[in-house]
Amino acid sequence: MADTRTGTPTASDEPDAGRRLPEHVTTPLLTLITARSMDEDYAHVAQKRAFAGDARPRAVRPHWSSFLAIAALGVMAAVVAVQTDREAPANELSRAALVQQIDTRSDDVRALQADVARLTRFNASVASNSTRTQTELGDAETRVRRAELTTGFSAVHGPGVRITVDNRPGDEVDGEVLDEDLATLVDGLFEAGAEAVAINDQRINALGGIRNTNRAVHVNGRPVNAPYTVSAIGDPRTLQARLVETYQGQQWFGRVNNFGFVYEAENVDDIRLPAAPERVLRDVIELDAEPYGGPAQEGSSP
Amino acid sequence: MIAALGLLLGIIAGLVFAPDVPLSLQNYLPIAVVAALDAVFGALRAYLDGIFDDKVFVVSFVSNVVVAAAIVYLGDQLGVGSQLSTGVVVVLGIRIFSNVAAIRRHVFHA
Repeated sequence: MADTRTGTPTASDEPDAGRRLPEHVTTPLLTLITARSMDEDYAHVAQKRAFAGDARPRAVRPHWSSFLAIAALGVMAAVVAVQTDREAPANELSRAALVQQIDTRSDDVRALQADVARLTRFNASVASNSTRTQTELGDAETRVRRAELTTGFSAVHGPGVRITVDNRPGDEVDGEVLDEDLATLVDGLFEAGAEAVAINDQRINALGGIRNTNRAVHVNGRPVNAPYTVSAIGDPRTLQARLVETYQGQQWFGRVNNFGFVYEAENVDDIRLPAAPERVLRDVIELDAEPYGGPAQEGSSP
Repeated sequence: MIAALGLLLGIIAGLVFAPDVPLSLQNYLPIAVVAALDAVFGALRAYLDGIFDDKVFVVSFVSNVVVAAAIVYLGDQLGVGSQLSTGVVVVLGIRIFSNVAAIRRHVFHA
């Protein structure tokens, strides 16, 4: 089929090629609307009459049917106008209601925006308070750490002297190291400049103590056995020399000589000392705390 | 003359009786009025051209009104009522304007 068309044009194709598209297809829409604004039927009927040789007067006057049609237009227009007029108050009312709603909502929005501003300010002040509190908390933690360091409630390390003390070799009761001997040594060490002292890994601090229960020595309430290792953190260059100079040190060395205790001291570059055990305080009450019901009811640790 | 009289009588009748338009017809009546105006202006132009015909006028009047209302009704059913109303008003408005221009040329010869 396609071959015959492209190959040899038939006689029936000739008129198609020459036919022009009708005017109402080629004319742009707006031009068409403007050009045919009057109904074509008037011209068509007039043309038919002219062909029929009907010599009518030039201006044909409208009759009763046209009268009726125009009257219908008048009625419709009047009814629409009346209807629009009737609806005007309702429209105005709804418009007023809408305006009122807009005003109310605008007030709401203003109030909410004021709320937002207030909350933003509050938020900023809370944030600044929080920052301040964080800083204070950090300061307090630093102070607590420092206090723990000086009072022996935190584990520490540093250079110092490790002293090994033992009973006199043999099985005599006289040659045993007692609590007061160890206490004299510890006091001498502190006097000589030691900053932290422990006996057999029991840290000595203000709340601890060295006690004899029968023949056993208890440090911080826990028994320790000979040989006793007394570790003291302090300046290793001066600690041993100053120990000899102190009153307590002289007392101690006197006892060592009298009772024949074993005494060995060595400087150590790094000694690790544990923290002293916490003790619940029953009678101590903070100065600015409530005596009853406050946070210090059970006593507070230093 | 008879046309002006008819228009006047119709307006008076409409104002006097002022029937309540049913809600279902409220969308179509204004469009019908515009369509009728188009038919009337077309008729006036034909009258001035000397080719007015009663029958043609009445038929074009009725068909304009019915078709315009039907298009808007169809648009309402398809959910594009307001858009189709706008389209109908635009087309009828262009026709009215060009008819009025032709009438003006006839009356004022300008």
